[in-house]
Amino acid sequence: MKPKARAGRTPAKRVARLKALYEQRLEEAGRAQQELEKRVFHLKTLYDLSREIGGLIGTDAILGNLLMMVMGTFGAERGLIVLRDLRENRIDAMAQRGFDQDPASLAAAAGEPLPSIDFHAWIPLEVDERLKGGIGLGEKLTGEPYTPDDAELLLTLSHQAAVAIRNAKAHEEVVRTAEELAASLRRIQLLESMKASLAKFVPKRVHDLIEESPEAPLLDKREADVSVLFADITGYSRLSASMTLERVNQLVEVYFGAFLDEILKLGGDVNETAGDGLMVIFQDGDPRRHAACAVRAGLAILRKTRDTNATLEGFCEPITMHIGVNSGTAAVGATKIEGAAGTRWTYTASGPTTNIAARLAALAEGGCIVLSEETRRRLGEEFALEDLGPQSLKNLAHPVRAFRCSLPADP
Amino acid sequence: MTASGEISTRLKGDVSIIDIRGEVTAVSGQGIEQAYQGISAAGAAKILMMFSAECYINSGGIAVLIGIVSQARKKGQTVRMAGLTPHFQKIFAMVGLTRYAQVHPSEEAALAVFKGAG
Repeated sequence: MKPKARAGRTPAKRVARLKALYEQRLEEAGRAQQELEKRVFHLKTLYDLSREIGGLIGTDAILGNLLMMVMGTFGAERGLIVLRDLRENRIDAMAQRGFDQDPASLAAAAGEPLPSIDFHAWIPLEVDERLKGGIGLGEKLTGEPYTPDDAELLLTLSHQAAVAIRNAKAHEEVVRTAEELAASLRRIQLLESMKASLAKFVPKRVHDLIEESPEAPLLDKREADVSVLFADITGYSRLSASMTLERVNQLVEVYFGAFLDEILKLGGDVNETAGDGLMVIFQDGDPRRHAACAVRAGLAILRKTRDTNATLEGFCEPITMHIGVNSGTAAVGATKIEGAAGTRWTYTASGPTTNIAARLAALAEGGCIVLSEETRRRLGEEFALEDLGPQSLKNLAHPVRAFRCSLPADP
Repeated sequence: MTASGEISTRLKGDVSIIDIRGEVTAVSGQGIEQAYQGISAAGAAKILMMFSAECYINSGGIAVLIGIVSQARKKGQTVRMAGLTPHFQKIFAMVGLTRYAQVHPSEEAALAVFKGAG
C-alpha cells in the first residue's frame, strides 16, 4: 500500500518542492558561510590586536590602535575610547575618530562616567580599580544594530587591551623608577664628589660626626679628654727667605704629605695647617692610648722628616721639625664665626691644654718632641724620656714640667 | 606619479588612482590617508583605490579606509576600489564599506564605470 502523503502529488510539484527546499538550504548554507567568515574575521582581529598592541608601551598608542581595530571590525564611522583616572578624577587617556566636535567639548562629554554621546554600542574598559572607562562606537556603515555577539567580541577586545595597558603602565612605572634612580645616582655621585673634595678641608672627626648623624651632627663644643700635638718646621722663616714661595709650598706639601698617613694611622685628626705647622688632635675612650698615639705620631713625624731629607738630599736643605704634646681636657667642637655675609665654622680643641702643647712645641729643639708631665703620666715604659724639669712657658703663670723624647739614632 | 613606501598615486584621465601594496594596518594605513589628502588637495573628484593581489588588510586598515570613504562622502568625491581578492571583497561587504565605495574586478572595469558615470 502506497503512503497517503504521497498520494495526489504530481512529480512536477515534488520537483518544485525539492527545488524550494534546495534553495532554502543553499541560502542557509550561504548565511552560515557568511557567519563563519565573519567569525574568522573576528578571530583574526583578536589575533592582530594582540600582535599589534602587545609590543606597544604607551597607553595612547594602545588606545589608538584598539580604536582602529574595533572601528574596522564593526564598520563604524565614529568611535571613542576613554580611560578615566577615578582617584584623581581626570581623563588618563583618550582616543577618538570620526567626530566633528572640538577636542575640548568631546573630552568633557567623554569624561563623564557614562559619556553623553549617542553611541550605538558602549562597552566598559577596566584596567584596574583606578583606571576605568569604555569603548563607544557609532552606527555601523551597514546600518545593522550591534548584536550580543558583537558586544561579546567587543568585551573580549576590551579585556585584551586592558591587559596591554596594565603592562604598558607597569613598563612606564619601571622606566620612571629607573629614571628617578639614575637621577638620584647622578646626585649621589655629585655629592660624593663634593664630599671627597670637602673632606680634604675637613678634620676626620667632623667627617665622622656628620656621617653618624647627617641631619644634626654633634658639632657643638663639649669638654673632652684629648692629646694635642703641635709640629712646626724649625727655621721656617730662613727657609722661606732662601727660595720662592711656590717652592716652599711644594716642599711643605711633600713633608706634610708624608706625615699625614702616619698621623691618620694613629687616629690623629689634623685640625689645621698654618704655613709651617700642624695641629693634631687625638681622642680615644682610653686617655692613655691617645697620649701614646700622640707621642708615637710625633716620633713618626720625626722619622718621616729624616727619611724625606735623605730622599731629597742634594735638592734642598734638610729640615727639622720641633714638636710639642700635651694631654688633658679641652673644649672640642665647632668654633662658629658668624657674620652678616656668612658663617664659618672651624672644628678645634681650645683651652689651656692646647695652649701648653703649642708652647711646648716652641720649646722643643729641632728633631725632638717635648711633652708635658700630664702626657708623661699616661705613658708606659714604651718611650725613652728625658726629664727637662719645670719650664717657664710664655703667658703661663706657673712653670710646666716637661720631658723630651727623641728619635733613636739610626742603628 | 608620487610614491611613499608601499603607496603611490597616479592620474589616469580625470581619475586619481592610489596604488596600495603590502600590509594595510592602522599604522601603515597612514600612508594611504596621506595619499588621499594629497590628491584631495589637488582637487581629485574621482578616486580609485587600487589594491595589489598580495595586499593584506586588517581591521585597523579597514578603519583607515572607512575614514577616507567618510571624508570623500562629505566632500562629494566618488571612491571606487579594485584589485581586491574575493576574501577581502566579502570582508568589505560585511563591514558595509562597499555601500559607499563600489568594488570592481579590475582597474579597467573601474575606469570604465567612472567614464560611463561621467
